[in-house]
Amino acid sequence: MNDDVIQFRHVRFGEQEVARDKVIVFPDGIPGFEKFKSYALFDDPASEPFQWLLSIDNERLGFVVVNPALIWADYDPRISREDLTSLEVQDAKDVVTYSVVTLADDPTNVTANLSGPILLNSANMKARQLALLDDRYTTKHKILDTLQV
Amino acid sequence: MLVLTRKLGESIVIGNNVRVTILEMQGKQIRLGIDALPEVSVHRGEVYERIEAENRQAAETSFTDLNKLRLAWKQKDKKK
Repeated sequence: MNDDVIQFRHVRFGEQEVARDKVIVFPDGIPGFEKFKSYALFDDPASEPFQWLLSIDNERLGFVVVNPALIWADYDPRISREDLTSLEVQDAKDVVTYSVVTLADDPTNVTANLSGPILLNSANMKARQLALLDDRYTTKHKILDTLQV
Repeated sequence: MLVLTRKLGESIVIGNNVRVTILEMQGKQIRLGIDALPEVSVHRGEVYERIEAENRQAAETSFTDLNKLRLAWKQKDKKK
């Protein structure tokens, strides 16, 4: 048994493992799922550029996430000093932003939540989901719309 | 639900680290001042509820097949 690796199971991806220092901890959980604090970021080559945020504590819980900058180059969430302090951010370069994706059977209805970005401090793997007070962004931005010319 | 009556300038303390003060009252609006440590997240109720609802939907739909989305994405990517 290797102490540096945590094994977990997810119903979609089966048995998985993650290095202990790669476990993402949401001290407050994720709104709606406050009980579950530990997640692993999972890269499924078949899902690129989308990634998975899989709960380590609940095999049925997972979110599709995407780097919003890949889709909305001008996405500019206002992040307060308090938000950064709460994640113990020392260097702004350590902060990684993800948007939660809501899937749909029709791909044109797939949306990303730009009003609730997930901030991850990659230096200590602490994360939290913000609730922005910014009228420019909603919880449902269609992903494929932006690429239509 | 605990219900307390407060006057302008008065506050309530929640736990050891959160203080909520009534700063201003104007008609139906009340301004609150919140003193809390940075790791305590404070949200407007309706904003938090929207994020919560979206997360629930995102989690429920997370078993949807991604193939169609991926294909559409790739095609769009080529057009760029």
